[in-house]
Amino acid sequence: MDEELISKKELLELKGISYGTLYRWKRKRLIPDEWFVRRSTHTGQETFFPRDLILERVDSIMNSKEEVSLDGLAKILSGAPLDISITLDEMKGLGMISEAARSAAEPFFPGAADFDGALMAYSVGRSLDGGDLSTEDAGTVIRNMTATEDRETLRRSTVRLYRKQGVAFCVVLFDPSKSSFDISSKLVFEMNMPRAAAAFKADIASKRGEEDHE
Amino acid sequence: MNDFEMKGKSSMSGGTFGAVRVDGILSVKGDLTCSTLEMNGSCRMNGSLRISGKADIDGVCRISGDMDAEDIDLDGRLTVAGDMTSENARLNGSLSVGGTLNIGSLDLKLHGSSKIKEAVGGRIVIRHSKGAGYFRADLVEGDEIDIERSKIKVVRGDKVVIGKDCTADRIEYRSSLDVHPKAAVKEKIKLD
Repeated sequence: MDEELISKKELLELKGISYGTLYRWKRKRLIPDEWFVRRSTHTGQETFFPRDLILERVDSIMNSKEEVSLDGLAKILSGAPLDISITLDEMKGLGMISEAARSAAEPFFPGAADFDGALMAYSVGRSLDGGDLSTEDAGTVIRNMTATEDRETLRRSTVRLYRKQGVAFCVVLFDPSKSSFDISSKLVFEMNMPRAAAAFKADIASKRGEEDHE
Repeated sequence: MNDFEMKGKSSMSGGTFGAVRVDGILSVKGDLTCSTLEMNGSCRMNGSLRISGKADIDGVCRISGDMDAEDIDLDGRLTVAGDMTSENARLNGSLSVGGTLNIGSLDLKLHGSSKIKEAVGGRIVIRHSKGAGYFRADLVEGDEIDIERSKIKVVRGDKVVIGKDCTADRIEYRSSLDVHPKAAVKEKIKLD
């Protein structure tokens, strides 16, 4: 499956940003290197970006630029893990996961979960609550993510669940644009890990912030 | 963090330091990370060089990996085999980068041949100082581009000035383009 791309020229025009701004964000690691996709066109080599990812990222940089420093923002937006340890009950207490999500994730995280574990429970929990995944599917996805030993790679991956003839199977893809699957299988669930991590970090920062104020 | 200072001729394995000061000839086997670098002489690095603050180099520096520095002041020759990033670089001499140079602002006073695969960023200014060498690049892309004595395949920018002794295959510009009579440009495209 080829993700929809946007050319650099179109991106700069659409968002009204300059070359200098784009490359400064890249230097500050606000935009990952792997989003700069080289393609040959009739006018030579051009740079493209995964359309949805880059537009969302540019918006979040432009919206938060005034409150947070670029370096602070880079920490939230990067896939880099937070140094946390949290139990599923605490996450439920903070309103980050539902009871259904807690019970689906419980077999995998009986004690306190680290960043990756909490992120899995949080993100898969949301799709479970949203009706994209069944309880059994949620278990399949979490089991496959926890089985991925290279956490660095996992944090930069896209996780998908496909279904074929009623049987669900989970794949962890490092580069989704370079993959192709059985055309008779149906994509049921997709999670981009860096994006999921950014949402999780922003949520836990605000929830824990509120708690501190009380 | 510990500072590192050496005079004479020495080799080290690399590591993380505060201020690094070199007078003489240094060879570094691995990656070197430091807060500032002051170097007079020559330096050869088999790994990458990362400087959170300023690099002040008088002499010759050759890096097999990547280089990353907030600020760079150079008199001499800098060769980076990988990619290079910096917010601000004032270079007097020659610069070669095997990969991409991502730069906030570059002032290069060219003295001797320089070659960069791709130079991208905010402001890129190249002035001819002396010598017969040219600045060569496949791509120069930025908001403000003002170059002399350069042979470039593609120039892409907002405000572009192509000075004397330049050749370019294609220029794409947005706001303005100024081409010196002693420059040769094959194709000029205004982007709207």
